[in-house]
Formats: sequence, structure tokens, C-alpha cells
Amino acid sequence: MKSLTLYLLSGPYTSQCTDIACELAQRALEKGYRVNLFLYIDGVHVPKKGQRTLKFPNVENRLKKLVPKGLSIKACVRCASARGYVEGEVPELETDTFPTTQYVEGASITEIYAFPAWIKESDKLISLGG
Amino acid sequence: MRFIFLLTASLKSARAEACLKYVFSARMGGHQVAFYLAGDGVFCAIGKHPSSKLSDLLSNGGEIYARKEDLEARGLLSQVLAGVEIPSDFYDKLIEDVMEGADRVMSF
Repeated sequence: MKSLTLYLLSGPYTSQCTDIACELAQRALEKGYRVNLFLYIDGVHVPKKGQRTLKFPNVENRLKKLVPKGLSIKACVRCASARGYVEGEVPELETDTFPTTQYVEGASITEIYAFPAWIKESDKLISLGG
Repeated sequence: MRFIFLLTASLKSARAEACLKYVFSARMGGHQVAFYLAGDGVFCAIGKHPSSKLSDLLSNGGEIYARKEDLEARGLLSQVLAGVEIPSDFYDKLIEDVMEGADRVMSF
């Protein structure tokens, strides 16, 4: 199975980049590809729980529909920690995942090295935002 | 090689300027070029803008695709450069091309 990695650097609602990422993920999943979404810089805000949009599409709801279809979501620990998403003590040595209760189910906070690992295994990479 | 470029930034941005340089460089290097425009990137698809040399790209065999919904949202649908294609499902076409047709993908 071919795989696509999406690299998202912008937060939700500041530009169309998050919407574009979700659209690309949806189309790719529908076509049977494996899809990874790596969140960096303000992109780590994208999977936050409790988003309440007024009269425009809600990214959280979008992700909740894409994760069951196979979308894998990881956020950079340094970016997520800086923005208050990592809970508890952050160990000096980076491990695989870091604790948060603030993300939608299926999204995790990981070391940055997960991103090059995804690049290595993916057929194509599309970056958005930044 | 087949290059796919995706541009989501507006024409006067640093990202757009860099993207256009790569687009024309790839075409001059003899590669197939497919240029996808979405979000603010659709501003590149209008024929009146003097900075856009996309008509040259089209006359030299390049492919340009612009997303209809983004053109409409910006009131640009009637100004699209002749030769720019507007797919019925832009993202579906982009994914198909990226995953099955492209040798290289560059997004800006």
C-alpha cells in the first residue's frame, strides 16, 4: 500500500492550509492509500479537543471522521510542549509518546524523529503552511 | 521526470515567487510540469496579472490546474487564463497525480 505524509505547520482557522490537509487526507484515504499527518509549529493546535466554531467548518470534527478511516496523526513534542499540550514532566530523554488529554483520540505527541521515519517509509510528502 | 507543484500562497508572497522559479526551471530543464493552484494560489491563474508568466508555461506544454471553489470564493472564475484547467474535483485529481503520476512533488 502506498503512503502519503502530510506535513502541516499552520494552525487551524488562520489559513486554508488545515482544510487543504484534511481534504487531501480524505481523498487519499478514500483511494486506499495510507495517510500520515505530522504537525509542527502551530500545526500542533489542530487536534485540540473542544473546538467550537461558529458558522464555519470545525477541524476537530473533521479529524474525528478521518482517524477511523485510517489517518495517523502525530505532533512534535517540542512544539506541543511549548504550547501547553504535554502534561506532567517532560523527560530529558525523548521517548516515543508524551501524555496529553487535550487531543482528539488517535492523535499523539511524539519525538520529532517520527517525522523523518514517516518520510522514509512514505511514497510522497506534501507540506502545507509555515 | 514529472514534477508536480502545489501552490497555496498568493502571487506576491515569497513562497509563490520561489515556487514559480522552480516551476519554470523544471520546464526549461525539459521535465513535465503540472502546476496545481489552491487557496490563495489561484490568484496565479488569472490572465490579467502582469507578474504571472503562466501563459508561457502553458504554451510550452505545462499543465495548470486551479481549484474552482477557491476561484469562486475570490470572484476570479471569469478571469482565469485560457488553458488553465478547472477539475470537477481538484483534490481528487491532485492526489491521483501525486501518488500515481509524479516523480517529484514540491509544495509551497
